[in-house]
Amino acid sequence: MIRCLLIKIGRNQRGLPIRAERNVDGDVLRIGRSAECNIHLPDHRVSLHHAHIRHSTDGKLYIDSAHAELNVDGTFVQSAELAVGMMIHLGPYQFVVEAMPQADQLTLSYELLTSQQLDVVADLKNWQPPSLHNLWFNQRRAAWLLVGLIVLGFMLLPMLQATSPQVGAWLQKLSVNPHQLWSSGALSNAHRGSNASCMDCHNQPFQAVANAACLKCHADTAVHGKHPSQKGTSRTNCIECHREHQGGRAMPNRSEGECVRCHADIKRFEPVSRLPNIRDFGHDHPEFQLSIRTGPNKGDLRLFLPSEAQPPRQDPGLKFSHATHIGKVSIPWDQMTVRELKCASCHQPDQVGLGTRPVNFRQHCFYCHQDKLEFDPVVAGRKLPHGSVAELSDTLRDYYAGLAFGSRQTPQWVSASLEHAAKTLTDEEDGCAYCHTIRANADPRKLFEVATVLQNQHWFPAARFPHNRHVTSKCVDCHKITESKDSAEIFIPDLATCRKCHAGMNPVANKVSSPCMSCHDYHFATAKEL
Amino acid sequence: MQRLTLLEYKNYRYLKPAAGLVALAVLAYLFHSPVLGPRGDTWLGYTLAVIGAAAVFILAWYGVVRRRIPVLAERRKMTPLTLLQEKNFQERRMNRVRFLRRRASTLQGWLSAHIYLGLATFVIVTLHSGFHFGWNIHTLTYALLIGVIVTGLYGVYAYLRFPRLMTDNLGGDSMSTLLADISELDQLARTNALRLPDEFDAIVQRSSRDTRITGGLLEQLRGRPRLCATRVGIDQLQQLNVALDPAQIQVFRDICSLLLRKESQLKRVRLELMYKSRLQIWLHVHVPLAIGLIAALFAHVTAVFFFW
Repeated sequence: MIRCLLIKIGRNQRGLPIRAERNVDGDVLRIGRSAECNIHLPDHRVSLHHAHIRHSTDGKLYIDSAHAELNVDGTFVQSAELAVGMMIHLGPYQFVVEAMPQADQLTLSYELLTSQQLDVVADLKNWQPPSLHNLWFNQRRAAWLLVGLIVLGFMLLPMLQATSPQVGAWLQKLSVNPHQLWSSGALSNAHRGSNASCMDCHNQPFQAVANAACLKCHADTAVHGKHPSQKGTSRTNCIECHREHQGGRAMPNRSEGECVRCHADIKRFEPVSRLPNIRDFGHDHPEFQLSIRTGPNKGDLRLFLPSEAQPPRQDPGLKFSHATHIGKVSIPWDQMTVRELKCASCHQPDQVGLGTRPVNFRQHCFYCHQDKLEFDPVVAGRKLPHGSVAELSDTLRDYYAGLAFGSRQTPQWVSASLEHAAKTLTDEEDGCAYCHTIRANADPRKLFEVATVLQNQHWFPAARFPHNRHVTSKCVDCHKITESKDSAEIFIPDLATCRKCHAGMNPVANKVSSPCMSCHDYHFATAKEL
Repeated sequence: MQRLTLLEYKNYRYLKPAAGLVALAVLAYLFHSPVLGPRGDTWLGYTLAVIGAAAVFILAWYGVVRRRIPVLAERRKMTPLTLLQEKNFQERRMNRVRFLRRRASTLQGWLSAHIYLGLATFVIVTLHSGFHFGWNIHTLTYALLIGVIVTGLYGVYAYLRFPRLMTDNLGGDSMSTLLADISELDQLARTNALRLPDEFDAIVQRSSRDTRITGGLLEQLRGRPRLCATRVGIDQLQQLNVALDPAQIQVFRDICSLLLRKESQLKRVRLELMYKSRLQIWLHVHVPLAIGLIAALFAHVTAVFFFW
C-alpha cells in the first residue's frame, strides 16, 4: 500500500505558485491520461497509461515506464528508484519528489510546465476570411497595368513610329511593326509590298490620304471629265471611291452610286456641260446617243440625238441585206451548195470579248462571192485583186496590153476592152457594184471609183458593252436584223431593250441591278479614240 | 425585395429606352447597305460609334456616382445646421434611415440603368464593328468591352442569386455563432478523445490541428478545401480496428457525432465565404477591364484618325 501526498502546483496571475494537496492511495499508483489512473493528467501529450509507482521487493519505491517516455533528471530511463529531490518529466508535467513529512508517505508535487493546447475558440474569434482587397493583384494595380500596356503599346509606340525617325529605325531594326496594331484590315495585293510603310500613303497625321500620295505611282491615270478646265485636276479624292484595308485581292471600288452625286444635277458642278442629268439607269437615264460615222476620217462622226424624227441611219457604202445572209443560203455560183450562215459566221468576237472584229472580205465574203471578181468569160476562173481599185485597174491594163501585144491589136482595142471590162465590173448584177457603191471617177489611173466602206466599231464611245457577258442571249434578241434588207439600217438596241433585263441601282425582281459602273468607266469617261 | 427591383426598377424604366435604342440601331443596320458592306467608317458606323462611346462613358460614370452619392447626400442633408437641429437620438436616427433609403433608391436606379445601357452598348458596338475582327487595337477594344459586359452580367447574376442562397445557408445563425459552435464542438471532441486509446486521440488531435476554415482565394471561390482535415479524421476513426470497452465505445460514438456536426458547420461557413467571395470577385475584373476599355477607346479613336 502506497500512501502519497500529491501536490498540484498552479500559478496565480502574478506567477506565484499555488499548492493544492490531496492524498492518493493504492498498491500501485498509476499515472496517465486515462480516467482510471490514480494520478490523472488530462493532456494529450501524456499516454493513456504513462507510468506507475510501485513497491519493490526490498520495500523501496520505484517508478516504471509503461511503454512511454520517462525522463528522470534529464535522462530517459525505463525505471528508477524514487529519491527526494528527484525531478521526473512526464510529457509536459514536471514531478518533484519532495521531502517526506511522514516516514511512510510519498510526497509528490507536479506542475504543468507548458500549456500547448490549441485554443481554438480564441483562434476562431480572431479569424478573418482572407480579403480580396488585400490581394497583391488588386483592382487598382490591375487597372493601372492594363491602362499602361494599352497606352504604351497601342497608342504611344505606333504614334512615335510615325513621327520619330529614330524610333522608327529602332523598331525596324527589331523588325517590329506596331502600326500593324492600328491596321483596320489587310492591304490589297498591289499595295502589300514588302517595303510598304504606313507613311507612304498616310503622309500627314490626322489627315486623310491625299491624291498626291496616289499619284506618286498612278501618275498616268486618266482624269475624269473632258472639259479643258478640268485638265490635270480631279474634282474628287481618290479615296472617296477606292478604299484600302479591305482585305487581300484587288482594292474594291465603292464608286457605285457616287456618280449621281454630280450627274443628278451636272450643271451645278460643271456649268458648261452639255450632258443631261442622270439619276438611275432604271428610271432616269436618257435615250442612248449613237455616234454615227459620216466619213472615213477621224472625227467624221455625228451624234444621233433621240429627238430626231427619222430613225438613225449610217450609209456603210455597201449594199448588204442581213435578211439574205442568215439561215440556209445557196452559194451564188453554185446553186447546189447550201451553207448555213449565223451571225457569228461574219461577226466574230474580238480578243477580249467585249465586241466583234470588223467584217473582212477575204475571210467572210470571198468564198461565196468570188465569182464577182471574175471579169472575162473567156478566161473563167481568173480573178481580180480585191481591196484597191488602183491595183485592180493596173491588173486589167496589164492583162489587156498583154493580149494586144500577143494578137497584134491596136491601143484602141485595149481602151475599148478596158471600158468593156469596167462596164462589166460596175454592172448592177455581176461586178463590184454587186456590193459596192460605184462613184464618179476623178483619178485617171483608176477605171472607176468605189465608195469607202464604213464599219462602225464604237457606237457608244463613252460606254462599254461586254458581249461576252451576254452569251446566254441570242444576238437577234437585241439586234433585230432578220428582216432587214437595207444596209444603212442600224440595229443597236435602245434603252428599252436593255431595261428588259437591267434595273438601276435598286434591286428589281427578275432584273439585274446595274449601277453606272456596269457600262461606264470613271477614268475613261472621255470618248475613245475613233 | 430589393433584388427583384434591380431589373424591374420602377416598372422597367430603363429597359424601355435601352430596348428602343437597340431596335433602332438594328433596324438602321438592316436597312443600311453601303457598297462595301457594313463598316465602322460609314455614316451609320460613325453614328453608332458616337452613341457607343457616349454609352461607355455614362457606364463608367456609374463608378464615380457609386462613390459620390453618399458624399453628396450627406453634404446636402447633414449640414452643421441640421446637425444642430437634431435634438435627440431619435431624430438623428430617423435622419440616418431616411438618408440611407434615399441613397439606396438613387443607386438602385443608377444600377438598373447601368445594366440595361451596358447590354444595349453591346449590340450597338457590335453593329459598329460591322463584324470585322482582326488582331488590332480595334478588336482589342471590342474584346475589352465584351469582357466588361460578361463580368457585369455575372455580377447581376450574383446579386440576384447569392443573397438568397446566403440566407438559406445561414438560416438564423451568423458567421460568429457558427465559428463559436465549431470551436465548442472541437473542444468537446478533444476532451472526449482523452478517454480513448492513443491512436484515437492522435487522430482527433491531428484533425483538430489541421482543420482550416479556408485557404487562398481559389479555395474560397471553390467553397471547399481539397482535403478537409475533419473529414479525413472521421474517415480514419471509422477505419481504426482497435478493441474498445463498452464505455469507450460510447465515447467513440460521441466523438464521431461531434466531428460530423463540426464538419457540417464548417461546410456552412465555407459556403458563406464562397458566396461572399463570388459576390466580390467579379468586380475585381469588371473595374480594371472597364478602365482598360476607356484607355483602349482612346487608342482606338487615335488609331482611326491618326491614319485617316
